[in-house]
Amino acid sequence: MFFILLLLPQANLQSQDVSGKTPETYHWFIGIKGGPALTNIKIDGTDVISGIEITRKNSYSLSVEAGYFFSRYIGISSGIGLSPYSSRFFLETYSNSLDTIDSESEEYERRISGRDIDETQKIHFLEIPLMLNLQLPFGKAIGFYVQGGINLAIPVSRNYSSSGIFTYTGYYPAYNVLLHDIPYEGFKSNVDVEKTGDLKVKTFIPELAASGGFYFRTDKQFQIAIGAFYKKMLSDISAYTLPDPFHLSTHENQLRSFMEGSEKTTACSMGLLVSMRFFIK
Amino acid sequence: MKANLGKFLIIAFLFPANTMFLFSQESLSKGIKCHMTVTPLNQDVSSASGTTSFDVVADIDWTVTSDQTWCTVTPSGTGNGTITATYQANTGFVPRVATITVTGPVVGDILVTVTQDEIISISYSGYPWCPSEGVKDVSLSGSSGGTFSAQPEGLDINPVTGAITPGTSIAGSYTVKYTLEKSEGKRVLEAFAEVSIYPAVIPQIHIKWDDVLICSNVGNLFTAYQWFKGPEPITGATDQFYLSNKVPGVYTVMATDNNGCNALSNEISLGGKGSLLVYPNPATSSFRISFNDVQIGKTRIRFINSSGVEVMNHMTEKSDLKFSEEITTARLDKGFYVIHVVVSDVYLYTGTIMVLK
Repeated sequence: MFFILLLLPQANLQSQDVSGKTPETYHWFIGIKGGPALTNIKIDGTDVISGIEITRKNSYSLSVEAGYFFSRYIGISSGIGLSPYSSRFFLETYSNSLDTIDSESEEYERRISGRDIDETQKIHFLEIPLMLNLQLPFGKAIGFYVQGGINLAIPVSRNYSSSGIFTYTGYYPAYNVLLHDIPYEGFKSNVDVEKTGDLKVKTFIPELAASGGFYFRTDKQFQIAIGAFYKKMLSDISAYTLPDPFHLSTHENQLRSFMEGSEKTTACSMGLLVSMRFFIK
Repeated sequence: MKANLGKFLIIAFLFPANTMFLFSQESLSKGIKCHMTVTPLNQDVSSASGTTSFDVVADIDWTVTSDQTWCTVTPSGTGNGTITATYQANTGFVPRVATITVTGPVVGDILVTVTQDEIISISYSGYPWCPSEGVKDVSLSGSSGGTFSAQPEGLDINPVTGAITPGTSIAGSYTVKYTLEKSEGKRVLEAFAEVSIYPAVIPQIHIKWDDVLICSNVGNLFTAYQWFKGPEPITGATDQFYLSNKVPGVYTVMATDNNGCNALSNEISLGGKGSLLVYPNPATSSFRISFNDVQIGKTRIRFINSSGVEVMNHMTEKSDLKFSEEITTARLDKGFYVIHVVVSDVYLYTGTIMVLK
């Protein structure tokens, strides 16, 4: 494809401009860009959920833009885009406890152990960029471009699905006994727990965005570019207040997201980008 | 001096011990009076090796022999002298006697004896004992007929047979002494043995949710459990707790402590011992619950609605044989309730009440 793109400008360069305009006389443009991405939501878990294996997941990035070139080399742009971020989290073993009282108002220590806890988080961000565009033409129809700036990321959907196998027991210090597998207080062993729910994510998140690559001017008004991009959220995306202590699950019908037990949650994305711009004026 | 015919005059005097035994003979030989006396007649010696002696008063030569190899004597003497008997230790459990023959011309033989005590020993096997174990008999080597005693106090021991009852003894270590009197109490043989008894650890069981029976193990005193329903062990019920599923019965647990001793817990009765007196029934604003039972202590009254949900839990104290408590219906909705009364963790009584409002 890259080879084909290299050939395209050569053909267009042969065309005659009946209006007498050159490419440098066009300043305003609109465009669309998108491409595959590899996204990563990274959580910095507390001690009780340390050792989480995080797997990046494939996604995409899609946006429309409009901009203005002050000269042949520099311009600004903005627009709107959609970037789904997704990651898979796996925790092999988990154990925790909390002091509580039972239905007979007797104090006990509730002990929870879990294994094979598997969670997938997915957040769709609507991104509003403010970009600085730099172009370094190698010739009349080809050049190198760099684009950088800030996205205002707005989460439009945010959910998680989690599952794991949990065991709930109760240690009663008054008797020095560990109760398990009885039909009281949810003291059950090896319970398959599944939960889906919404993540709490901040409403607005600044995001650093940068991309670079080669552009090709197929004619005076149309430009196609191919490159790579990298985006990174500049602040903690989580809106959770970290509970102290954090419990992933205390009962069989309840399973929190790892994000809730994270001291800091960030996200980043990288991928390929193909963009097409049409210079209108 | 030459021996000759003559008449024998044998005189034996028997004196109390520690005074004198006298064995004397006199005879005439050619008109010369011959005389020999050996004292004491018998020497009692302990079972240990050692020596003892006999005094000889004589005006003749004399020889000495012993009929036992374990007792050797000085072979001979002249005139007044001392016979030394050297004896080996008696390792047997019966006393033994060596006869020493003192022979002199004309006077003939004079017999004296060395009586050596036997050894005695006592022992008990398998101690330390658990309080739940049965009577422990003594193993006695040696003569019977002695008396048994123990120090310090607290051991239940039969003074005649030496049998020990761990269950009625106080836990601890003891020294058992067996005392055997000899020679009508003039000598005493003693044997000792050490025994010990583990302290009794009685398991306590509690009930939760009127269903789960728990054996308390604070301090990690117990290592194994076997639950019983009535006199029968419950198959597979060997955990520290037991889910009764509210099956009526009298439950206990046999717990094994760290010393390997088994002990039976207190009883918990599920299903109720009897019915409560609840009046008035139906009730509008209040009603009274009454029953008589020797059990006293913390009393929990539970009200369970027709859906099986506990809706009220009333705690009080039962300090007397008769229990009577007025309950207000303010916290109870209109409806039918089952009442469970548990005193000191023992599920005792059930009843019902209809609340009208």
